Amino acid sequence: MLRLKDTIERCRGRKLARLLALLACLFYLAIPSPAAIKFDRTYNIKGQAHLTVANINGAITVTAWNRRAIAVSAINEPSAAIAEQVSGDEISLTVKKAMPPGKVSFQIFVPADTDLRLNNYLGRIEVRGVRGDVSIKSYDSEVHLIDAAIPSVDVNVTTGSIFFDGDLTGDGPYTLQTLNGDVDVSLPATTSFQLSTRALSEKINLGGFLNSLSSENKAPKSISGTHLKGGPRLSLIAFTGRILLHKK
Amino acid sequence: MNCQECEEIISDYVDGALEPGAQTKIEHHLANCEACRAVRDDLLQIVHFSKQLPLHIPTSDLWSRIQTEIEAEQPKTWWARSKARLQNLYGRDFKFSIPQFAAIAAACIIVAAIGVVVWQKNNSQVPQFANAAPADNQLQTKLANDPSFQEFEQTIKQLKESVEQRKDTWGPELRLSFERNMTSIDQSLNDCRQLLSRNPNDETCKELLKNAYSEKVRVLQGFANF
Ligand SMILES: [Zn+2]
Repeated sequence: MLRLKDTIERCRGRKLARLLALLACLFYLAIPSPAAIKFDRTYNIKGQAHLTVANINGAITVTAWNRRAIAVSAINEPSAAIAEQVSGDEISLTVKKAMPPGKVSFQIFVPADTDLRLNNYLGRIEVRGVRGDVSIKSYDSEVHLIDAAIPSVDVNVTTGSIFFDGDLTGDGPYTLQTLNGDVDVSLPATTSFQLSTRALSEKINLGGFLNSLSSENKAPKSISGTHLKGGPRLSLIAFTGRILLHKK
Repeated sequence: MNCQECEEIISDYVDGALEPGAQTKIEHHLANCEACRAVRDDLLQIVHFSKQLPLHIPTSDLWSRIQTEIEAEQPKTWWARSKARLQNLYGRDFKFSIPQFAAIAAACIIVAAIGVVVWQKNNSQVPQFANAAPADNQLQTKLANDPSFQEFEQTIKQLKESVEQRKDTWGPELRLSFERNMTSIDQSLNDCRQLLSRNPNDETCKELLKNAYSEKVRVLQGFANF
């Protein structure tokens, strides 16, 4: 693959890189950019909310709060329109496909028990404090699940690391997969689970859990076993990156 | 992170070669700095441009004819072309101040000049990535005999055709992301195949190969949907 660095170095080294950067700034400043549009909504929630967000390019940040409402604040480029669909406590926000697709970044607050389904192509995804089921599908995204005491999770990204810091509070399954990046999981020492890990890179580090795991299978590319009473299936899959498990 | 630090590592960032920590920092800076975002977007365009360069070696005769053509044609049409492109992009007419006009003119000319240098440099070299490593024939046959992988290959072929037709409309950032994803997957697929050719009974590898195939289909489906 022809990479930018090679291209630049083959030409004139860093001087050219600087020149390019300067030029790009000049170019950018010379073009009057149309103003960004703001999308602000608040949806009142009666029961358990289900929120689906389908973005294309841009960050999605979801944070749990104490109000029975979902508040969405998105900043989008004019070429990116957001379609909303509301049916009771089911809310769906979709960035319409345009050519070329505009950037949208979502900042969302939800009741903690909200079920989340987040889809994206490109852009960081962060979920904080949520207690509902979480499904995240993206291609090029670093995913952060913070303070996530959730009944089940399914995260699948092609490029980008996945960080999970929380607890497994339901029957699962808990599946985290990335082809290019680390899978980094932090759990309390008291959590019971059925572990299955597969890393093509053979970089599996179970940290403090290694000794308390009754191993069923231990190979360089794959370790599986039962922690404490067993229970929900925790499945971690990495290819080029590492699998890291930490005891909290 | 300030703009200077950002500039130091932005090309690594565009390459996807940064450590997660550094990537988070630069993304934070980019989220708040319009100037650096512009640099990033332009670098992405340059990367894309350089990738699309044809792998032919022009004769010096052909090159001098192209140069004459460009020199003869560019002053007449570049403004009209740029303006039409802007109008297309934002759907409205623009008026530029004299400094803005001068800045655009300077930027266009220098970018064109750099483009020519990059083009020449690339074309004066023997292409290094024209041929992929020869595949393991035995494994290929085995995969082809396995109905599920054959199906994968078939699906991938069809989706690729559909993606190729749409690629140009995505814009540079998404195109680069698509290519980055495909590179990740193809690397994983190759690694799995190589390991399997050494140890055909490696069940973990077989499962990971299947996952990588599924992932390739998922990515192609997503991008074919545009
Ligand atoms: Zn900056």
